[in-house]
Parts: sequence; C-alpha cells; structure tokens
Amino acid sequence: MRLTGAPLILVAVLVTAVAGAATVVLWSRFGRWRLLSRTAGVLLTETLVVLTAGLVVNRADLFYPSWAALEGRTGTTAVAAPRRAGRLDGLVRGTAAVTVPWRPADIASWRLAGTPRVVFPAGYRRRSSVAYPTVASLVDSQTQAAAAVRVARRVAAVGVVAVPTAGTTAAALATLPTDLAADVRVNARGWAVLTTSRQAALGGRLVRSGPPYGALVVIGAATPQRQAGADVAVVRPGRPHRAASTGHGIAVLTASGASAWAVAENWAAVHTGPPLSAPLELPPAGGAVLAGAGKAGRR
Amino acid sequence: MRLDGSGIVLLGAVATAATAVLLAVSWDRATGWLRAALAAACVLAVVATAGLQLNRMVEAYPSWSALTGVAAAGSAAVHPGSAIAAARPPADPAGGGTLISVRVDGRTSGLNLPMFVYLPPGYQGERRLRYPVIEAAHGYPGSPRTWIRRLDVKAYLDREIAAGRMAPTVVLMPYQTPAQLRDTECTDLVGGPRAETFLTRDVPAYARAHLRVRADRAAWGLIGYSAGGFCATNLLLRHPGEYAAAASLSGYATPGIAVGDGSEMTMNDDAWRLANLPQPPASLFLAWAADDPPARRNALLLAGLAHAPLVVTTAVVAHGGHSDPAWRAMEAPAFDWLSAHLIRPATG
Repeated sequence: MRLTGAPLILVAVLVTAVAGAATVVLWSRFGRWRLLSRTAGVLLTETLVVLTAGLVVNRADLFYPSWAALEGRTGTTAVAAPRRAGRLDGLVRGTAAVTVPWRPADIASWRLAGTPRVVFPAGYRRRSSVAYPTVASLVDSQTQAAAAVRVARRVAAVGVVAVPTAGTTAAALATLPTDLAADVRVNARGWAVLTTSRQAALGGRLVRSGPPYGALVVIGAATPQRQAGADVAVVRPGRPHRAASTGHGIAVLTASGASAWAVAENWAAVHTGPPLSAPLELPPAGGAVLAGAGKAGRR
Repeated sequence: MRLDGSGIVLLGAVATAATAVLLAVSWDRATGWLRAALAAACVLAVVATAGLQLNRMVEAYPSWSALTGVAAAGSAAVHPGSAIAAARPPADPAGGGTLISVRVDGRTSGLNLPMFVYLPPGYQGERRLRYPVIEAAHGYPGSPRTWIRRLDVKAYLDREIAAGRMAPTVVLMPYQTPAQLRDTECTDLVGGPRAETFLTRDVPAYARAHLRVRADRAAWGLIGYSAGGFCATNLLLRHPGEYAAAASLSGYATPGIAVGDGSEMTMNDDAWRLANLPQPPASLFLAWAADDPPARRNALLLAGLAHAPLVVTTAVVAHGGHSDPAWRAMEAPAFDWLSAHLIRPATG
C-alpha cells in the first residue's frame, strides 16, 4: 500500500475511529482491569490520530512520497567520473613546471604566428586526479611569449601562450578550450585571459563569449572594456603599489618592465577557479524533459 | 534541556502517558468539569509532543531563547566578529573545519541576527589566505541549525574539501527572519523584516569586515534547500553583481507568499524574471527529487526558460520527495559544483 495513497489514509481513519469508539464503549468494562484498558485505549487513539494527521499532511505536501523515501533511501548515489588523462600528460616528468609546444587539431584555423606553448604547472604529474584552470596569454611577439611562459610557470594553473596574427578571430579560437581539454587536464570553468594592449580587443571578445573564460587582464595603456560577469584588470606602467584601485569596475594595477608580466599573471591566476578533483555528480534531467519544459511555459 | 533534543520529546511522551493514566484513574470520581480538564490535558500533551518532534525535524526553534525571537538565539556561543581573528576558536582536532556562531548587526536592514559560520580546515593556521564564500539559506520552517543538525553540513564540507573536490570555502549560515514563523522567502517584506537587504548587504559586509573572505563577486555563491532554494535562485537573479553562482535544492520559482507590493508576481517571480528580463551572466544548479512534483515542475520551468549568458545545470535524485534524505543526497554534488563555479582561495 502506497504511503501517500488514499487507501492507507482510509484504513488509518477507520482504525482510528474504531479505536476511539472502542475506547468509549468499553470505558467502564473490564472491572479492575479498566485502568489498563482505558489508558491503552486513550494512548492508542491518540497515536492513531497523530499518525493519520501525518499521513494526510504528507499526502498533501509529498514530503515523503514513498516508503523508501521515509526510510531515507534515495535510490541515487553521486559519483565522481574518473579524471581522464590528457594526451600530453606523458610529456610531464618530475615535479617542476614543464613547457611544451602545442599542435592541436584546429591550430591552422587559429592563424597564429608560430606554435603556441602549453605550460604544465609544478606538481601536475603528481596530482593526477586534479584538473586545473587555464590562463590563456595572447601576446605580440615570440620575445613576449618567452616572458609570458616564464611567469606562467610559477602559478598553479595550466598556461597557454600564443601570438595571434591579424587573421586570428575569437570565433576561430572557440575550439581552443575543447582542444586543450583533450590534451591537458583542465576544468571547463574559471579560466583567465592575459593580453597585451594590442591583443586586448581579442581577449575581450573571448571573455565576452563566457565560460570557460571569467577574467581578463591587460598589460599596457589600453583601457579594456568592462565585461558583465567577468573580472577585468589592467596593469599600467608605473611604480608598483599593492592596492589595486578600481575605476568603472576595472581593477587598475601598476608595474613596469618584467614585473608587469608577473603582476598580470598573478592577478590572472587568483581570478581563476581552484584546481579540483573530479566532482561528485548526480544524473542530469533527461534532454527531452528539459526541451519540453520551456514550451510548457508559465503555469 | 534542549528544545530540539530527543530528551524533551521523550518527556512529552511521558507526559502524554501520565495524562492518559490520570484520566483513566480519576474518571469515576471526577465531576464534569474535572473530566473535561483531564481530557484537555491529554489532548494538550499529545499535541505538544507532536509539535516538539516536528520542531526537532525542521529545527525551526533550535533553542528556548529562539521562542522569544531569534535576536537572542545562540547568544551563549557568540564570538564577536573581531574576536575570530584574535581569539582563534580551536580547530577541529579531526582536521576538519570549525563552526562558529556570530552576530550580524545589520546596519542597512536594521536586522540584528545570529549567523553560523563554517571556517574551512586551515583557516586558523593560514593568516593571509582569503577564501571564496557560500551563503546557505534554510527552508521554511527551519533555521541555520537545520543545515547543521539535519543536513550534516559540516561533515559534507569537511569530506568534499579533504577529497579535493571542493576548494576550502567559508560557508555562512545566517538567520533569515527575526521571528521563525514569519516566512520572508529572503525578500524585503513591505512593512516587515528586510531579509533580502540583510542577506545581500549586511551579511556580506559583515563577512568582508570580520572574516578572511574574497571580496570579488566571482568568489561569492549561494545555496539553499526548499524555500531556501528559491532564496538562492532569486538572490542570484536579483543580485548578479554580488553573486556568481547559486545551487537550489528542491527550490521553487516563486516565493509563495505576499511580499506586500505584488512583486511575488513579477520581480520576485523567477520564471517571470527569466521570461521578461535580460538574463545575467551567472550559473545556476537546480536539483530535485524525481518524486517531488512541485520542485520538479518549478525547476524544469526555470531550466526551460534559461538561456545564455545564464547557464543552468540540472541534477536529479530518483526518490526522496521533499525531505532531508533527498537534500543530503544533493549536498555534496551541489557544493562541488559551486566550488567549480567560484574562483579559488588566494592571498591578498
């Protein structure tokens, strides 16, 4: 019999009524045992009334729709899918950060100058169950790329360093996150983009496209646009000072020369998501259910 | 004796039995009035016992002082905010996080309410790190104690953080109303408590002033079960400049109360918001039990209306209805998801 069904409530009501009636009818029977019979009758009736009320309320609000739910059995266990190794994981030996040239499938469509590089953070090999966020650095020259790689090696995030050309578009770079996820253990969220002034517009378009990007830092004089839902910072030339002032929702940091790269990289890294082991997950709603829900519209 | 303990329910059961015995024994000698009084005592005892057990199940009134208004609740355990850094409450010897109780003097809302705070493992030892934050809303009826006693929030957080599935995070569990049976649904009730202002202005201001938390919007998330699930969704949609992500466990799309200005049909109706207003760049986790029709219907409605830049993740528990076991099954996945959608702990 179902916990929320009418039959169970009907039975409960009947049994309660019978118990109540019996208590009243037999109130003065049983002679010297009547103390016991009266007490038992009252307590039994009271208990049944409470249980019946509980069944009625539970049927109305479905707190516990089944006996299994009442017993605390949800029939569901959250599981963590094992982290898939990246195809380039084998290139990482030892515990130090490792930089490798990166030639993914879609590289031609990105129209980059030279081969981009991937930086594996220190400890990447040892923490084999962990996926990292990414700091994507877009710079003007191979010299700057070398500077970007140097600072990328110091943070707990995967780095991608690339030199775009005039032909590089944000639309073409849309394949970068999936390509990187196949080759390196990276999260699908909490990435940051680091650019020079000249690449700021491209970086802005990437961040505007949303996940995985959530933050943008620009080195130089360019004033990046504020991006809804993203953290944006600019590193201006000048004497370094710690307090980042904000103007129009953009953090302004100052640093010069080589330290500008370090300041920008650090800002980018602390605005990425945490390196994480695979999350516990529950099954999602079926696709058909979701597709129908939008059309169902308002109640 | 605790108001939410098993002892008091046992006492109620004893009183119920005692009144029944008294009725049985005294009936023949008693006059009409006394009989009526005895019968009334029986009814009172059984109703009180059922009420105490119900309170134990939802933790609406976790302590005696909460009966007179939560302004006094938990005051015995209050560590003034400034003392958190100075006195450094003892870390959990098992290596987990620490639960403390503080008082939030809400300057903007005018509400002055207690709040429980989960400090992650390492918080006390590490003096420079600032942490991401999750604000946890409770259901109705309920209290922050429901998270702690019924949903074992500390055990789940300790486990997820230890497993590396969640970054060390500060979790704030504020009271949402000064009178526990006043259902605010985390809105600013016209002529009533300004719960929304308290939760979105005063609680963050307290945390930024007294706790080592990150100030960035991207480090702030929300979670809630049942009515608290509506709170999490609604506060995310209404304050996307303060929060980046929210997890709603068996939550609703509407508050189901009158806010006082009709906004429960519009600005405080999340289905209406998604259908009629630009959607914010934010992330929403909607979980429900398949056998909880209202929560399922509401979550599917929201998921169906959501579009970029708002991103929705769904998660379904097979059975569990609208109950603690269902929420416990959702807790770890929800916290893992939140951590992945917030930025990391960082110095500075």
